[in-house]
Amino acid sequence: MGREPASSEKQGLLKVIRLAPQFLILLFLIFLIPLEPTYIQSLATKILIFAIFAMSLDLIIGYAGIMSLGHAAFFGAAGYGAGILAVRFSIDNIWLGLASGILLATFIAAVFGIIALQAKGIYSILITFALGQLLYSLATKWRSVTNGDYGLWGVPLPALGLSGFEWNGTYYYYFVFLAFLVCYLCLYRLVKSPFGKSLQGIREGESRMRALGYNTWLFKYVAFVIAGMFAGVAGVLFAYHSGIITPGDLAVMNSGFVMLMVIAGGIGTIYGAAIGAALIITIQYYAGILTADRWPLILGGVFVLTIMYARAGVGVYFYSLWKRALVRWKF
Amino acid sequence: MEVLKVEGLSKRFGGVYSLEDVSFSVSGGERLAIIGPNGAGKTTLFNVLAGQLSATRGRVYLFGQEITNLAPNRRARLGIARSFQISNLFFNLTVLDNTLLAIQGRRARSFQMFRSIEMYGDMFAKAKKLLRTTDLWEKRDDLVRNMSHGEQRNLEIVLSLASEPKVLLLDEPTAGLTEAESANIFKVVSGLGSDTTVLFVAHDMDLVLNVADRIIVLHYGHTIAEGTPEGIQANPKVKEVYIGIKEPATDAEAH
Amino acid sequence: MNIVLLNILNAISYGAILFLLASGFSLIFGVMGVLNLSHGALYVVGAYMGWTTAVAHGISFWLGALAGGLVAGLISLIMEAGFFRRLYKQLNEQMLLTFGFVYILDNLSRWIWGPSYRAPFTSPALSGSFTILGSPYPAVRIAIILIGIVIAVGLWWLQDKTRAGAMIRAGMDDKETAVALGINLPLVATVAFFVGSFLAGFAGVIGAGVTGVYPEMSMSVMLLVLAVIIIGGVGSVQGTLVGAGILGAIDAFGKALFPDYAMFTVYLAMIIVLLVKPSGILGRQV
Repeated sequence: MGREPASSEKQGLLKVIRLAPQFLILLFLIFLIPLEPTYIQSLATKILIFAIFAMSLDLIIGYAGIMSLGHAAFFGAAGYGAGILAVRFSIDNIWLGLASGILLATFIAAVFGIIALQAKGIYSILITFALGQLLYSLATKWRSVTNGDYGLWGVPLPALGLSGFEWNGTYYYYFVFLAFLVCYLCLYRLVKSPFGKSLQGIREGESRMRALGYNTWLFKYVAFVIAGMFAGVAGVLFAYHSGIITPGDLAVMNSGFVMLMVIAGGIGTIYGAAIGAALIITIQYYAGILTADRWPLILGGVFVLTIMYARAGVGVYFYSLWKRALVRWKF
Repeated sequence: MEVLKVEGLSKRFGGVYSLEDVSFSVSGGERLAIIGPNGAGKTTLFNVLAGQLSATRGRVYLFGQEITNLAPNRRARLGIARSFQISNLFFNLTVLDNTLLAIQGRRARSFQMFRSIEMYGDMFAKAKKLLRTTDLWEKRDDLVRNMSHGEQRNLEIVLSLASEPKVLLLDEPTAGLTEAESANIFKVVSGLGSDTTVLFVAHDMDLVLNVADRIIVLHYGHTIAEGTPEGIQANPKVKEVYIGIKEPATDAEAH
Repeated sequence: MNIVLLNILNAISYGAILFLLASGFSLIFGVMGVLNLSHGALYVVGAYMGWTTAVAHGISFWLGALAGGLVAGLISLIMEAGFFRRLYKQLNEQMLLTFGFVYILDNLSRWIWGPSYRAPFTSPALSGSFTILGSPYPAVRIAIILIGIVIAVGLWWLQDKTRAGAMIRAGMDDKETAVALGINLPLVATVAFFVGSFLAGFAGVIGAGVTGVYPEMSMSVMLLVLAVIIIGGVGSVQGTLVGAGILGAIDAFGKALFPDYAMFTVYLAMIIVLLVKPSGILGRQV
């Protein structure tokens, strides 16, 4: 930003060097993960799914500055949308499943957004909580559709539409990885755009933004709906990955879970949320192995410790180390 | 041409009238100073004019169109801009980002989602020009929260000028600035053409007497005097409520 | 008994429990500015504590209620001294912290008391029923109503008629001026947090006579608290009374009229209030 351009060749080489961590991570994800045993691949798939989920939340809490405790509602709703299509209607097409889940999530976000953004201050936060729980109640009560507390199980991975193609864990991992890549690039572009900058302005000073001519409500609303849409993407991928979708996936506790990821990785950076997802899912996995019943306790402890001591974000911390190294090595 | 007209404006907070029956009009290109002792209602007046507060009674007209109940962002789009007495900046963003956001405000581009903000060269050039007038260009990548008070006040003015407003409301533009910084603001404000109508609240009598075409004096929410600088200086009512009116101010503390 | 009277009594007794719970939350929010999302979990812990005292050990129910309140208050002191104080003035972070505590408290409750549902329990003296207008009505609910009235009056008197109440209201309205006037705000905050949490734990034991206890309750309870706040407004005893009353009525009549969907009438009420008066019926302008 604001640098005078050097020779374009040198610029190109510099750019590549500066992006080294991203390249390494990409190489790791593309080539190394598929060589690992199935349970690692499954874990990686889950991480990428929650990374999409977390990045979508970062758009509203990190950029627009809207604190939402009900984001899991869109995630879960999309999961149910895809799940219902597959289980109740036996529709065997992954693209239709994705479309229905994402559309459902977007629609719910459009409705919830109007209600949630109507309120001011703490009431806004409380309403997101309430709306999240509303969907949870609906999922538990509407047994004929959602199978209630037992959850909608037996969700198969629908056909890709290519003849002769059979899913397996590795193929699904690649599918999710591609989805992650697309979502990451879209969100990245979005936050760097004038729209994204405007969201940051609203977060930093809504009254000033209004005095400057911005219809701040509209910006927040659009961001809220877009975030809901991306959460929906994650929700559908999650349903296919787990094979089951339960009311808990919609609940406030899940909203808090994904919020922990965003904070742990670093709010307001998009990549932070992805790193946070990797961190927290990994901790959850190994905590679950350590103690079958007490892992939420560990998670709660991690939650508290993160807020107390690491709320700037672990991902942000490491990235800043890298940037400092670049400066020192004159890149 | 009457650019801004205020009719019977009143603003009540609970049991207290912060503004009571204020009326005046401003012609195109005019420099109108609003002065008065602390608590007279000057900032409240600006808040009602710009839309941060709604009037309890009365009307406001901009270019003949009534804007009394219009939201602040709609008023901004009609050409009003203001600076805030207490700096209202985007503290965790850079100086450049602050300026770009201000420039972008009145344009339809703000909803663009797919191109990077750096790609808009014309906005960039404008930001450069604006920041240069207050010596902030070199600091463009600094975060606002790390800047000195004086630099922040300068940026506050920059943001209000960025949208090339037709009506500019400056609330204590030189408050907290050194003599040199105040002189610079004075230069910037004087340099605004007759396309811009300026209303400003100030305690700095140098600024007021040298820049203002007309002065309105507020006291407890009422207008007690209106006239040219010479007229106001000689007005006994004004001297009565606003002691020290002849002394050029060396300070400008916030209320 | 007339079915309407029955439902009205149900509404008032349920509303009383909600009032106890929500006034604690409102007090904490009003003075500290923190949304204590673990408030529901404190209700649950208090209830379990009461169960242990009264049912498992057979000690007096009322001591159990006290124990429940004290344990909840103690937990709040730990939260405040150990954690909130270090995050001075960072309200969002403090709220998120309470979220983390929900995980911890929920799981600890499960660990100590097990996952099964505890049937509603109460003092042996209250396990019978009174005859009202010719029909029996559970004594425990009458007791809840009476306790609710006593505490409501007490809190109202505290808020409006005592110096302590004035200090608390001052702290809610304008922290800077309160401090300038020599009010020891950190102490007021700690006390308010303790009292609010005590009320939650106490409400848990008293309310257990109607709701029972199980570990997953904390978030559903939290939701009810939020509903009271959203409907009635935060920051005053009167607001909480209105919110609790309306919610009690909705619950009682909702359960009577459409038993499966009673919960949704609550949400509907919240949304309506939000659209018409965003800061709650008696809420202070946010």
